[in-house]
Amino acid sequence: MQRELAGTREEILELPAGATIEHAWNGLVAKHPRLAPGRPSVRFARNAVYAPATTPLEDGDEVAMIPPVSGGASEARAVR
Amino acid sequence: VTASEPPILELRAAPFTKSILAELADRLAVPADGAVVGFLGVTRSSAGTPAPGQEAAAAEHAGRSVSALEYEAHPVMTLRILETIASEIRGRFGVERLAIVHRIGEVPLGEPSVAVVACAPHRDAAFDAARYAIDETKARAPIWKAEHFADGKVWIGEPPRDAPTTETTPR
Repeated sequence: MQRELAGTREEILELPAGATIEHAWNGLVAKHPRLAPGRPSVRFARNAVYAPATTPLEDGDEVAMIPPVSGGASEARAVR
Repeated sequence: VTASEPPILELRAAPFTKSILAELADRLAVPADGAVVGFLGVTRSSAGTPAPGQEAAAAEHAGRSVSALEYEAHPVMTLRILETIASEIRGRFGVERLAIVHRIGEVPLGEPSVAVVACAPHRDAAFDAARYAIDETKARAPIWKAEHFADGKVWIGEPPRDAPTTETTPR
C-alpha cells in the first residue's frame, strides 16, 4: 500500500547524527507527501526487527515502514 | 540430519494445493508422533476489513465479489519472525516438528495461501502449536494482502503486533 502510494520500494535517506526512526519517516514523507496520512497505522522495523519510532539510527541502518498486515494485532483470539 | 530438518518455514511464490498438508506431514512426522494437526488458510470471496486509509477504496467495491488475492511480504523480516515463532512454540508447547508455509503473489479464489502443520506425540500439544503458529504469523509477520476486484484492489488488515502474545495457554 505505502509502496504503491510512494511509487517506490526503497529510498536512501541522508539523516543528521542522532536521527531516529521518526526522523526517517519525516524524510520519507518530505519526498512522498501521499504517505503522511498513513502515519497512525504504520509500524517500523530497524534492520528487520520491530522498533519504536523513537529508536536512534546508525549509518547504514535499514528502516522498514510496515503498513497494516494481513492479520494484525486484533487477530489473536479473545477467548480460548 | 535430513534435508527437511524442522522447522520448515517458507515464503513461496509458486502455487501449492491442499495436498501440501500431506506433503509437510510426510516430511515432518516421526514414529513417536501420534498427532499431526494441519491448518490451511484459503482465499475467500467475501471481503475482509480494509486497512486504515483504504475505506474509500473498499466502499467503491462494496458488495462485489473478490476475484483473487495478492500477497506481498518483507521476506527477511518475515522469515526472522517465523523463526522466532517456531522457537516460542518449542518453549511453550515442546513442539519441534512444525511447518509454516505462506504464499506470496497472486492467489486465485479457493486456493490455499498459508499452510501450518504441527506434529507431536499427543494431540493437545499439536493443536496448541498449530493454533499459535497461525495466530502469531497473522498478527506479527509483515505479509500484506490485497483483495483484487474486476476494476481495482483494496489492501486489507491492521497494524501488526510487534511482540508475542502475553496470553498464557491454560493446560
